[in-house]
Order: sequence, then C-alpha cells, then structure tokens
Amino acid sequence: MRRTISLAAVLGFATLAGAVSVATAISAPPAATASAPAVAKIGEKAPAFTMKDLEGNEHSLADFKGRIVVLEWFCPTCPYSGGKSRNSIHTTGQVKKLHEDLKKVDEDVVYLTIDSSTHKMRMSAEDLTKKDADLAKTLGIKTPILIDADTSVAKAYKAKTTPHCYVIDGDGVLRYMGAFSDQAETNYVLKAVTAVKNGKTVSPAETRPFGCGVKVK
Amino acid sequence: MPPARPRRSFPLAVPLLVVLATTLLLPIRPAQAQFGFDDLEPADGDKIVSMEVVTANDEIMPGATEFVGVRLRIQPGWHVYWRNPGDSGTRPRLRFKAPDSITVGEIAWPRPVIFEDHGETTYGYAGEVTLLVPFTAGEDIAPGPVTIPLDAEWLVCKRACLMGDATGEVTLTVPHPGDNGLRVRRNRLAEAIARLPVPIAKVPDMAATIIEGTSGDTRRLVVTGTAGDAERIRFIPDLTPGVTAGEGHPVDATIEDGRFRIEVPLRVEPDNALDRPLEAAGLVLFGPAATDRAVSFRIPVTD
Repeated sequence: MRRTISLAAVLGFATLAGAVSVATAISAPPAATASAPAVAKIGEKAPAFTMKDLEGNEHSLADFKGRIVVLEWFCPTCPYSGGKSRNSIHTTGQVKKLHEDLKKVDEDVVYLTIDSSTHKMRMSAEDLTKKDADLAKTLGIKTPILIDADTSVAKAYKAKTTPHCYVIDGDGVLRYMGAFSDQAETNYVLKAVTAVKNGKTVSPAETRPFGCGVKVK
Repeated sequence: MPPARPRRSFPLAVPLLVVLATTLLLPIRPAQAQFGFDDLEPADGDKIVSMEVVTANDEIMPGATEFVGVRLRIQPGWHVYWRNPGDSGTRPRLRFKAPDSITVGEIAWPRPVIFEDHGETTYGYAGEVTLLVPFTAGEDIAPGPVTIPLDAEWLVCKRACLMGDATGEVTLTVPHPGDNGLRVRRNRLAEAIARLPVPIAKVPDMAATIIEGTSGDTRRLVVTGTAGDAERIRFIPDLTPGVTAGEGHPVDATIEDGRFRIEVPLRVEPDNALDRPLEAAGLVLFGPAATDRAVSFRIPVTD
C-alpha cells in the first residue's frame, strides 16, 4: 500500500528544513576567544585569550609564558594595516623590518597578528579566515594571524585602531600599548621590547594609536 | 449533493524530495564580502574626496600673513578627521613646498563635529571643510608671483577607511613697491574663518583651570562660563601627549542659571609626553552642528 501524506504536512516539513538550514548557517560556532573580560592596563596582567589561527590551531597567551609577546591588531583592507597603500605598515615592509629587528633583540619574541574585523566587514569568521589567508601569502606574513571572531579580545584590550600594538613581558604583564611607530624614526614596539629585554622601564609605555577603527560588536 | 472532493495527497517520497531540495538550496549565506566597498581599493580615497586650493586674497604684502584654504568636498556618508581624530582615524596632512621667503604655519582647524557610533567616538568633518593655513611673507620678499606646490593626504572613512591624496598649488602675488593701482581686497575664506574656534582669552567670563581632586593626587580640569542659549554644551579633548582628560571622550557640561561647568579628571603621565610640554587642551562646543560656536583653550599642567 503506498504511503501518502497531506499537502500541509509537505509544506510543514519544507519550512522546518529551511529554518534549520538557515539557523545552522548563521550561527556557525565562532573561534574560541577571550576567556576573561579583563581590560588591558599598563603594569597589570594582560587579559587572557585563546583564538584560532588561519589553520584552525588554537593559541593562548598562556602558551607563551616566559617569552615576550607582541600583539598587532590588523585589518585586511585598512590602508594603514593590510590594505595596499603607501601608509600600510605591511605593504611598505615596515612589519617585516620590525620582525628582523626584534629577532636581533630577542630570538624568542612571539609576534601575533590579531584580526577583529568580522563585525566591521560583516563577515563570518570563516570568510575572514579565507580572506586573511590569501592576503598573508601576498604580504608574506609568516607569523600567526589569529581571528577574534566575536571581537571580545579587542574589547578586552581596548584595541581601537589597526594597527594598535601591545607588548607583554614574560610574566604576562602588559608593558606597552599604542602606536606601531611615530611614522618617522621611532618604532615604539621595538623600543618597548628592547627595554623589556634589558630590564628597563618602557618609556613611553602608552602612545596614541592611529589608523582605521576596530569596530567591536 | 455533489460527491466530496477527494483530499489531495502525495506519495511520501515527494515530501522527502522537497526536504532534500530545501536543505541543499539553503543555507542562504549572507552575500560574501558585504563589506560594501568591493569596487574601491584602500588607496581610492581621492574618489570620495575632492580637493581645491583657495586663497583669501590674490596678493600678499611683505611681512603680512594671509590664509590659504585647502577645501575638501566629501561624499555623503563619509568623513575626514580633526587634528585629534578621537578613538580612530588620522588627520589630513598638508605639505606645502614653500620657498624660504614664505613661512607656512600650522593648520588652523575648523570646529569639528562629533561622530558617535557603537561605542566609538571620533571627531571630524562631513560634507565640506576648508583647512586654513597661514602663509607669512618675509619682509624682503621679492615682488611678483610666488607659486607653492602642495601634496595632500587624508583618511576618509564610512564603515571602513580609504586613503586619498592629491596635489595642488597656490599662487600669491607680491605687489611691486609703489604700485598704487586699485587693489580689491577679497576674503574668499570668510565663511571658513568664521568656523574657527574662538580662543578662550577672547571670550569674556569664560575660564579653564586645573584644580586638585578630592582624593589622592587626582587633578581635574574645570571649564566655566556663560551658557547663552545653548541647550547642550560639550567638551572634546585635543591632542596632549602625557595628559589624558577623562577617557578621551566628550564630556557634557552641567548648565544651571545660565552658566555652564565642565569638570574632567586628568591623568598625567610625563613619561608618555614624547618630550612635549604637559598641557590640557580642547574645545567647548555650544551645539552639535559644524556652524555652532566653539571655544578653544590650551593650558599648562605642572608635573
């Protein structure tokens, strides 16, 4: 005997299937992000975080205990950051030079690039990951790029611009936050790492960052 | 009585096919790169902002100062930034390549407006703005025309930001001595000059001072004066390395009996001053519009 079903039931099943599919698409699980809502302050422990890189591997601040850590906030389209322009710290080679200089000061320094652009660019973490992966090849970025999917790490660090840079010492204490450089002779990140490595006071410990806005959720 | 119409029914396979087809066709992802700027590159800011150089007058006398205006026309929805851009952004940069006989001064910034968007506060200009630059002719400047090239650069933002640049030039003529021909003085920049904040020293009954806080060594910036007919008066900080007023965000004045008072805690960190003097500075805005009155001040802070 053939089983049959009413038209209403057919429409009901279709609607339910569609709703489930849409819900699944727009609520894909985000990458793991900040585990503490602390707010960054010079001289205090830097906020903890866990984020995925472009290969899906997790990185936590705690992984780098004992090492100096540099954080650089990044945006793939910002003309001061990943966007191609004469002011971009990436396309002009300034970041590459910084890496070379940092290694001379401390071979174990960790450099992490953080992208919190999901909200600003109206992209999913997955799509932003793909965009950054393509751009990393073009820009020759070899250090990890971490995706701050829900922008909570940007909130915890009060990251305002791209770029916005932070230097954390081996004890996890925040020692510098602010601009990448003075757009002239001084790279503040290099200056801060050098001071931390040599046990000196970081001065300036805080500068005004500049660049495109980090739009948090 | 006609026979009842049979209910429509389908083989079970049909709804299963419908479910399968629905699942395959969905999820409907939001369009990729809803960034909305796919047709613009990061360095396409000159497609959003056009630049024009305007002189107040065509002539400049030896020893005199004249304003040169750099007018930026900005497409709707976008904005450029004030000297202190706020939470993000960068101010426009102007590089005049002047001869030794002309001294180019610092930009006189028109009064900005406040952009507040999802917790981010920036200060800048939308629509049109004319940045005013004072040119001073040396006493011994030779008569005749002087042409000075300009390179300009700006960051223009909407939801995302683009870098723009342009070149221009300005020509000013130094009259020959004894040239007593009819000379018409114009001021093509009168409207732009009217948008400049008024220095506090020129405003009767208005003062900015620093007082000791009630707890610890917290100092506070206090600005007082006559409220006039302004319904909302706000303070916005200027760039002051080593000194932070409040959180760097606008502060509303209290208004009572026709007088206003602004009080903001100061955080003083001399090591962050980048060898600049410690100062508290900012604007008092008597309304939200670009044409509303504004008063500027800059006062020293002792270490």
